[in-house]
Amino acid sequence: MEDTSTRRPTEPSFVMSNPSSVPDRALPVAACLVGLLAAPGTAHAYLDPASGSILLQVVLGGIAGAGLLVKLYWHRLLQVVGLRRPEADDRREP
Amino acid sequence: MTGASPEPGSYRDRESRVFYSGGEVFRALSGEAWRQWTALRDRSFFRAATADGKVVATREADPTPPLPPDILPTPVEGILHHERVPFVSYPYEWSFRMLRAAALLQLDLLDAALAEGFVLKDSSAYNVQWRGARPLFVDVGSFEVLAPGDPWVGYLQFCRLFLYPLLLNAYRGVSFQPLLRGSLDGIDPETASRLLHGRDRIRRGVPTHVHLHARLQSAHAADRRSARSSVRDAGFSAKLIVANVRSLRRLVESLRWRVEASTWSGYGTGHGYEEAERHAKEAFVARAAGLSRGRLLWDLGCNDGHFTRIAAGSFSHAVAIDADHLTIDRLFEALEREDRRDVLPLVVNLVDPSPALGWRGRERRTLLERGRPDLVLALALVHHLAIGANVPVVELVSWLADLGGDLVVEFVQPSDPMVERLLLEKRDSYPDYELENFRRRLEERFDIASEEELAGGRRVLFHARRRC
Repeated sequence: MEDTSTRRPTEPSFVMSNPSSVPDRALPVAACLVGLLAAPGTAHAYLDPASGSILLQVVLGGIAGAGLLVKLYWHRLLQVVGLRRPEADDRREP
Repeated sequence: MTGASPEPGSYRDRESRVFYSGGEVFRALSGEAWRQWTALRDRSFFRAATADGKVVATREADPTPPLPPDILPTPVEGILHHERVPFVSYPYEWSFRMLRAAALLQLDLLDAALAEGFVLKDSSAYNVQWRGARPLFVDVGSFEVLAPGDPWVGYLQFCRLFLYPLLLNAYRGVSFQPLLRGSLDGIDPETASRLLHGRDRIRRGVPTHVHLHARLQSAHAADRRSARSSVRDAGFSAKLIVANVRSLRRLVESLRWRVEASTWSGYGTGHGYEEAERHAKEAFVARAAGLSRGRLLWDLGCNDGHFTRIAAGSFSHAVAIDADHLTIDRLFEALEREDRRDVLPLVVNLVDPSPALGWRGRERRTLLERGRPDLVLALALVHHLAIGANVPVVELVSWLADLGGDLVVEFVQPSDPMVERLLLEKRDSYPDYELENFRRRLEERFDIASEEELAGGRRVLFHARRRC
C-alpha cells in the first residue's frame, strides 16, 4: 500500500529558475480567489469545453498571470465587494 | 487501389494524417501544415530533439508515394517520411514510470518549442511511442507557430491523458490503465475532482489543476465569448505558458507511486528452480532464440525480464508483457537505467488483452494487429492461464499458434508445488491439463524441435516451430 505518512501536501520550491514563476504553494491561494469568483454555471457538453482550461492558464501563469487575472475578473471583483450591481450576463463573461 | 492506406487512428488532425505505403510510414500535410513544417524543420530545438532521439526521424518524402484517396479534407501540399516505430503501444499498456517519462518528454519538448516561438497544439499521450525504454514523440504535425496571445490549447488534454492518471496513481494508488482503456480521451476534470477527495484535495497540484479546473470548466461552459480572445485581449503571452509548463514539470517529476509489493513483483524468474536447473533453462531459451531469430520477440509473463534479456539479442526488438503493473514498472525502471533501446515492457493481461478501440473500432488496434512475433516465450505461464484462468489446453495451444511465431513454452506439471498452490482453492477439475495432452495439442499445430525436462521432470520445456 501507498505510504502517505511522510508526505507533505505541498513541497516548498525555493529555486525559481524562471523569474515569472511563483512558488507552487502560492497557487492554491490564487485558486481560492478564482474559485470564489467563478460561480458555477450549467455545463453544456456541446459548447467549447476548453474555456475553463484556457482561463485557468492565467492563474497558472505565475506573476505574469496575476495582472491578467485582475483584468479578467475586475467586474466580478467589484460585484463581490458590493461596488457594482450584477448584470444579467456577467456570469457568462470571463 | 493505390497500395496506400491511412492510419485509422490519425484522423483527428484536419491538417495532417499518417498513412502507410510499401511498409513505410508517411504523413500527408495540408497547405497550412506544410507551411508550419517549413517553419519548423530548421529550428534548432527541433533539430536537437530529433538528433537526441526524442522526436521521430522525419524527412521530406522523395520520391513521393501514392496517396490514399481522401486522405485530408483539404488538398495535400506535401508528404513527410517517418522512421518506423518498432512496436506501437498505448498509454493504457504503460506503467506509472512510463507515463511519467512520456509526460516529461511532452513538457520538455513544449518548453523548448516555446523558446523558439512554437507550441505543441495538442498533448495526446498517444503521440508518444517507445524505442525500448526511451520515449519517442511521433506527432511532428503537432508543432506549430504560437500565435501572439494564444494560450496552450493542449493543456486540458495534458491533464486528461497525463496528469490526472499520474495523480490518481501517485496519490490514491489507483492504477490508471483501466481508466485510460475505458476512455481514449482520458479522465475529465470533473471525474478527477470527484476521485481526488479528502486530504488529496490539498496535495500538490490538486487544488489548481484538478479542482479549480473542474470548477472553471463548469462555470464557463456556456460562455458566449471565446475565452481565447478574452485572454488575448487581456494580454496573455507565452511567458504564462512557460511558467505553467515548468511548474507542471516540477509537479510531474515529484510524483511517486509508493507501493511495496504486488502479487508478482517479488516473484522473480528463478522460482521453482535450483541454480543448475536455472542455467539449463537459460541455455535452452538462448539456443531456441538463436534458431528462431528474427525481427520481433514477445515474452509473455515476462516478470523481471530475465529471459527477455537472454533471448533479445537474437531479435531486432522485444516486447516484454506482464499483467502485473508493479512488475512492469520495476522492469521499466531497470531497462531505463540500462538505457535499453530494444526491449519494450507493457502491462497486458493476456486473458483480457487490449481490444480494438475508438472510432469504428479501428483507432487503437489489438496487440496482434500491431506486429506478429517471430518467437513467443511462454515460460511459467501456461498453468496460470489453464488453471488460474480456466482456459482449456486445446484453446491455449490454438491461441499460441495463432500468434504466428515459433514458441518456447514451459509446461509445469500438476505435481509441481506452484500448480498445487493454484489448485488449492479450486473446485474445478483439469483432466486436460497433463503433459501428454499438452504435447499432443502442441504437435497438432507446431513441429516440436526440442524438448527438455527440468526440476526432476516437474517442468518440461518445448521449442516448437511454426508450420509455414
